[in-house]
Amino acid sequence: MKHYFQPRILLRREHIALLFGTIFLAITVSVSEVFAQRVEGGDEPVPLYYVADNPVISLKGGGVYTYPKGKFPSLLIGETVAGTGEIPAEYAETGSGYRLGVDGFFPFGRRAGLLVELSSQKYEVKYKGDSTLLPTRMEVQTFQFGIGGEVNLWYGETTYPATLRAIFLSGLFDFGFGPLANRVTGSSVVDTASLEREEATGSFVNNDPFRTSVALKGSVGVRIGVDQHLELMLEGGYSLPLNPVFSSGAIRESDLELTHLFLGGGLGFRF
Amino acid sequence: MNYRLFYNLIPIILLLVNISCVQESPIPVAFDQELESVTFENQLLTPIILYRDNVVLDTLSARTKRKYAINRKGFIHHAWRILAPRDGLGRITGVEPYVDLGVQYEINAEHTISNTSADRTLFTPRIANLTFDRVRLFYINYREQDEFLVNKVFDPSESTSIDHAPYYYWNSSSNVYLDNLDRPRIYEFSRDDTLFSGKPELDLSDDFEYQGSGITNAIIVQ
Repeated sequence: MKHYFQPRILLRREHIALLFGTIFLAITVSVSEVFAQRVEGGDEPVPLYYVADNPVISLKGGGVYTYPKGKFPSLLIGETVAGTGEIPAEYAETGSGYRLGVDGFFPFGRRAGLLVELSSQKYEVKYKGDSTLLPTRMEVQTFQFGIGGEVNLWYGETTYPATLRAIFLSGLFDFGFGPLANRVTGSSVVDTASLEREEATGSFVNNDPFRTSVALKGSVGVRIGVDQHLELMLEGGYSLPLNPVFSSGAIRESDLELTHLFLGGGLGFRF
Repeated sequence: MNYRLFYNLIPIILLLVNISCVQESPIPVAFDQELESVTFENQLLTPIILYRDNVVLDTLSARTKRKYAINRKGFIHHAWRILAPRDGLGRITGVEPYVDLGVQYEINAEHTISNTSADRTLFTPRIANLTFDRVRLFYINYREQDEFLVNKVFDPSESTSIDHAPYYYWNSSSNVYLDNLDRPRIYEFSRDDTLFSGKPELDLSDDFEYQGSGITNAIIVQ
């Protein structure tokens, strides 16, 4: 009887399955040891509620209160025979609007970080009327992009949910692109025989008259924890304009600038 | 709380807040001031007709710049249209898009008219007939979007005019078809076909001299 060499099967499927199972178990046990930090002398793991230098993405919204600085230019609204007349700066009133959007806070450490805002803002420019002039209103919606910094004046190291986490101060350059839409309501003389003013409403048909607005926006606010990731934010901000509303190519010597006060809040997610 | 929901909400909120919330009025508004002038620079290789308030203002020759006085208040609209060359039967040999520039707000406005100033990009084929035969340009964008039947004959050694060239719409599959009137031969130049150099046979020229004109690289028929 001849003996032929028969190679032995060293690894069967069962062996391979057992090997991988053992490796998986070893990894699982070692990783769980890393994440489950234990209190000295105790058995319970410490819950990690909050890490101050993790980034936060927030949905934010609130009211915008606009106060115009400077006179409002005379306008022709529709096929009227006369303009609205220039409206003096003393007639300015506070208009109200809103701002909705998303901001991202990316800390460099626990004290300060980069702040980026993307939002949509609707503001209202208001002037009161008098015996010869009806009130004037201009509504504009712009897309806002802001970039700047945020400093934590105070922050809690590992605060539990539903407590104050930080008091912050932020400053950013706020750019207003657009506008996405606009609407002007003023008064004009429709009949030369009559001095009676009538309300007229119209819109600038393109963006040519408007500049890309640039403002310095300063804010102060607080962040309050809700749970490990979610936190509430309350904020008050003031925008100081760096350029006029209307383009100098479109209208001569217009000094109309807008200051905005923002009061609002949001819901943030801290990573 | 499902955090995935939070992430998904962000683009939706962004979309919502960017939908215009101010209702625009169809009645136009302009500044109550006198407008001084408007300047047009025609970078195309064809004359254009200029309109002010739907009335012809002037015909501006190819590659020229001219300033027009306004000196009045009001809603002043400007528009322009290409004046395409005609064939022997008086039919147009290129597209003639009408572009409304809207109400003028600038006291001294300037408009540059190039091949991208209309609602769609325009081009004009630069054809040089180096054969001893008559060659006819008979189709632009054949069997593609914006097909245009032309009937323009090039005599031997004749090239496209750069003072009054026909324009067509440029798209990703644009092509130019010519045929030889004296012998049975068809020439096809397409954006899909490439030359030995690896560049498309039909492509817009980046020659600085013709910047904004939309002229193609030379199409040499030989």
